[in-house]
Amino acid sequence: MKLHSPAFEQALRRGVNRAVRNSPELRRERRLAKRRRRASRLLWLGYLVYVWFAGLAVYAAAAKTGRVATGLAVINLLMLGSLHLLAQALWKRLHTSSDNAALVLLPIPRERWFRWQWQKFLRQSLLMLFVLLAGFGTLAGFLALPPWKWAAAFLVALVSWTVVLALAAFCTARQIRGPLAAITSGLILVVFAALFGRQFVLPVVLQALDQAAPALNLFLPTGWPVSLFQTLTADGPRWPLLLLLPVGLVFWTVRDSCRRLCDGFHYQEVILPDFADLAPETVAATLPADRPVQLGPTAIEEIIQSRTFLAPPVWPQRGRLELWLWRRFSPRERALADFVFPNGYALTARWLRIVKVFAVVSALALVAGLISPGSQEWTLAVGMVITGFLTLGQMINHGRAFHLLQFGGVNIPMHAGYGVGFVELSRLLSKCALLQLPLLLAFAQTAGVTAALIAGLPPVTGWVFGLKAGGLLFASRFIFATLGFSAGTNDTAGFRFRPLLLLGTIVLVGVAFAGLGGVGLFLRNDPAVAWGCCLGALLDAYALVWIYRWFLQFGRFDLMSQVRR
Amino acid sequence: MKIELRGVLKTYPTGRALDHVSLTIEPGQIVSLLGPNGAGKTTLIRCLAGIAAPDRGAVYFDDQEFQRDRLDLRRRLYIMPDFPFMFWDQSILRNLAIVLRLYEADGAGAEQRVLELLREFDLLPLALRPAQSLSRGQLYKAGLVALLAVDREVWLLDEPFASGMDPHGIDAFKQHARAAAGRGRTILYSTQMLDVAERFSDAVCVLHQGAIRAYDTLDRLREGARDKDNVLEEMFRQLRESGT
Repeated sequence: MKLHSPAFEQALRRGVNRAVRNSPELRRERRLAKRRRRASRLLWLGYLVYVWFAGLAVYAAAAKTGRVATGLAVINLLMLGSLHLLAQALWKRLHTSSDNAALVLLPIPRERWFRWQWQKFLRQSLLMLFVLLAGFGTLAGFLALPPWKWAAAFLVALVSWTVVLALAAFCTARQIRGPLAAITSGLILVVFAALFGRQFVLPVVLQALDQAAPALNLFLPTGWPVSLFQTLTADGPRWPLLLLLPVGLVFWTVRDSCRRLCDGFHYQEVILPDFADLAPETVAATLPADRPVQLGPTAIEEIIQSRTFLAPPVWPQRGRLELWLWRRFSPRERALADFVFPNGYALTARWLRIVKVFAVVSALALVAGLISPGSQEWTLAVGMVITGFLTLGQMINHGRAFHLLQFGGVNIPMHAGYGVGFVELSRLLSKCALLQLPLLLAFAQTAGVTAALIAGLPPVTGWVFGLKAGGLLFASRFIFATLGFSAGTNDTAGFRFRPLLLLGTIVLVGVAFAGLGGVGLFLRNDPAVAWGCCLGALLDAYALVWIYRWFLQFGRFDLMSQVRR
Repeated sequence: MKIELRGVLKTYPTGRALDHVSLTIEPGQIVSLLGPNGAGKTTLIRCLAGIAAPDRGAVYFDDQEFQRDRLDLRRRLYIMPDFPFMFWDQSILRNLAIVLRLYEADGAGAEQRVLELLREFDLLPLALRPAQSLSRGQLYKAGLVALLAVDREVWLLDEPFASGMDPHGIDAFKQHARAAAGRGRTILYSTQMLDVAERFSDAVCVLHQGAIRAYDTLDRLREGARDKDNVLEEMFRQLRESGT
């Protein structure tokens, strides 16, 4: 569907081409525009890698288990995992697309508007079709199917694609979001766990998938079209043809889903609510509960004249840890802390939450051990990962310092807009982390000993592991501060010597940190080497701050980045 | 503070934004940056603020080369983009407090200065509202209050007259800028409004395709012009006709 006249567009294009040909300046502009377009080819490279990865995953599953059904289950799960992303893409296209602001001005009925956005969504979801083609193509190659069956395999891919789109429309129209998001997150976690724990996790995942494949393909709606492929295999069963019935049912819902989506598709200008005044906390505390939403000019004048608005923030008084940290800041650091954490820096409540989560996980692991000994370690491992992420999040919290602001068509990080330097900022963030180090080490050691006791290992092993892990978590602060600073700039953009050198250095330091940290944590035979590696990882992370400072000082990069369109 | 650009070259992937720009701005001047869209005005302001780094050449403040780690120099200037930097979820007063503390301008008398400025820019009743609830013009005025309250030696403003401010706000800004220039502050602003630039600048700098086409005081520019009341309009017409 087009919202304009193709004949007019063609005539316009011819006119523009003629004008460009006749002007050297415009020809130059066009060359530059083409160069810009090349940057988007990198995105296509990313898509290509994703499609290749999908094909590889399907092949690996089928080859390792020797069963087509397992490969099909991988395709099935890929579709299931993508369902949330597709539903989200459809929702965004209909309700938050930037086109809407322009389309609302055009005299077109809502149905046409909806069809226009729906078509754009279909184009957007073509990547899924390529993933499915890669998956089924890989399986067809694996089974060495004859050419006509290849054609049938591609037909199955097409049917699968339409089914997943119909399901996305179904879920979007009925606002089914939570379960889809949970499924996608869970699947992503499993993929990462399988990738990084290839030795231990991947065989378990494969085995579980192999066992569950027939059930997954039969009971999951995304498995119904996928199962049709089984009829193409030599001596394959014919019963999957019966699944055409539920597939037809899914197709039947499309009309209703589209009607619901179209009916619920109202674009309107966002009207902000009437905001209440944000009185300083000390003033707000003295106001009666039924105070007016907005203060009068006299009250505001009093707040200014009494310098209440300039008084130090109230957050240090919210907890002991916060106060302890605040007292150790210099006056400049206090000003910076107020800038970086304008809503306060939560310590006590966050650490209490981490401890609570760990206590719950330990209790769950103990209970799981009573029911099934095998599940105890898994529960504990999952719990450790969750608490690990929570602790890491607390250690690397850098507040608003690296938030992006728009300035004349580019994004600039907040610190650049307010003239805050890298050294003072990284020093403040490191100090925040350093003052939490005793807490971190105490928690990590307790967690290590508890985990060791539950897993039946000597407590000393857990204690040492916790100590090392705590130290490494602290060291990661240096790396994350530098990455945060680098993220809002164009320091590693472009293919020039200096950006490549910086990028190479960051990657090298990151890999060295991961390698040294990994060896330091898991090497048991030689404690001296293990401790040396941990120390090396700490120094490596700290060195990155100084190396980046050198690049920042002498580098020619900007503290801004182009707005992504 | 004296500002000097020596042979500043800045290239973006889309082309050259500043082409070996050399420029000296003496303290106590109001200088308007003029030029068509994409001429390099905002890039020049970004280079002065240390946000964009020149590919070649350097920026000097009081004959000292400006580098990223020279925060002492950075804190002597204040930048106001076309859309002011704000903590959107915080009140205007809280935003002002953060800026005053960062620029170490929260000493005695800061409260009186802020109160007067808020009154002058009609922002006192809105001072406790979150920044996100204000209109574009009100936000710009709040940004101006911050700039005037910290009162740095160099003011860098991007399109202050296309900010949505009401006539009273514009007038108040002009008066403050004139007074500040009298105190030795250097004010550099970009604009597309030639009539405003003609009345509200000591010198104008015309940029075109990243290069300086003209940089002089308005009095001197008027000397050679035929239409003395519309000297900038005439200059732009000539630039366009000459195709440069």
